[in-house]
Amino acid sequence: MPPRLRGASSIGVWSTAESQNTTGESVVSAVRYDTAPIWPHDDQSPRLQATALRVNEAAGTPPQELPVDVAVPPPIPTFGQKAESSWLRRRQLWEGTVMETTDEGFRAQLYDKTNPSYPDEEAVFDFCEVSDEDRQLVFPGSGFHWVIGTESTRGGQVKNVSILSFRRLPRWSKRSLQRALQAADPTEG
Amino acid sequence: MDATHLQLHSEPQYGIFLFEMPDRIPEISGAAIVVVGSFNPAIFQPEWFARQNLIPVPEADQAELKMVHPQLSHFETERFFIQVTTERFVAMTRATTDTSVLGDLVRGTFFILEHTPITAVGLDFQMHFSVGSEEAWHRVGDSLAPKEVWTEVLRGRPGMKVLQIEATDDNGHKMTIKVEPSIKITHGVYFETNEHYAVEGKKTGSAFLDELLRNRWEGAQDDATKIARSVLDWSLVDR
Repeated sequence: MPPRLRGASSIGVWSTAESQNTTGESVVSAVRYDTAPIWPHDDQSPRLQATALRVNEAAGTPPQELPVDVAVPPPIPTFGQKAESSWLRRRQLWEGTVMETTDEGFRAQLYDKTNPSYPDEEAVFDFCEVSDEDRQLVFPGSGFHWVIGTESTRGGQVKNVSILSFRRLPRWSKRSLQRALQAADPTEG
Repeated sequence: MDATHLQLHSEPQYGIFLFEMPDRIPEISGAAIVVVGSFNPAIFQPEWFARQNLIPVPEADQAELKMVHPQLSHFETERFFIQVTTERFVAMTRATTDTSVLGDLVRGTFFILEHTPITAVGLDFQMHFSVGSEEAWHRVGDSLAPKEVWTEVLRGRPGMKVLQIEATDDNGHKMTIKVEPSIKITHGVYFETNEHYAVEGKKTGSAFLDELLRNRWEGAQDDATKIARSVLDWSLVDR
């Protein structure tokens, strides 16, 4: 069935196929997207073997062919100039290491990332400053980031914020440690 | 590229620090890590990140799923945007998230997915600076893109919309910097930096990525900020 109409939309170039319904009227039975590329300046994007087929149910025509090789590369997300409605302005960043924990909180050594020439400091934090989810990560030796800044809200308010984020790095598995030991063993091939 | 090479690069590579002035602080900043390789997008779902303890469970539960498909996964959490196709993984902070947490998220992801083929990595930073006045704002544009040549051929006052500069260092690492008027900050200037690294040497892609993020992530961020500050300070000097 030859295509009757062709055009371009945000997801590609399309063409229509027509068929006759039970009353003999000619109706659009399918819209087929058959070409790439979509987003400019995105030559690294993969070809997404997606399909776009719309069947006119009124025509009672089943899908006759599924279009293939339709490229729909998504744009690379970037917030750079996007209008997010609230944002954080960081004024100070420390990297911390937990020295000891108590029932109420923990003591930590802080390295000033904003002013690296400043000497290390120690501080005591209360557990109420740590999110419930991060509490399990607080133990001697664990690392975290402490940010002090201001947050501009979507309502135009400016809030002073202090954020403790404990680092979530995966631990070595027994298998990985075994492999590393083998790699380091000069008697192993 | 081997470990020694990366260690050397933990020092600023792109230092052009010309002026001793009070440090400008970006009004808004963000970061993205782009990993190029071969991926299985369907596994990159909020629940997977929570199960691997890379993000907290409540953050995963409240994630906004844009699309999960064998060839594209895209979701947003309180702190991150994640988009994965079969050839590209992109993780990006939201504007309310400090950029320091992003490196750990990506390191952790590919520490777990250690056999993922990776061919290149991009470290991207975005910053909006305020320059305080319209006059200063025009001075930045006029310094970076002098208008003499344009006033000869255009009517009205020409203005700089986009400036993109690219440099490749002796090791073949490419850095691209883009400067635009900020659309978020009144009398603001927007900087975007990208450091591109191709996976080299005998290391696996994930080992390369881990080493790069361990040795270069914070340095790349510091350098991006220093470059932006230096360009602004240079632009605003009375000549």
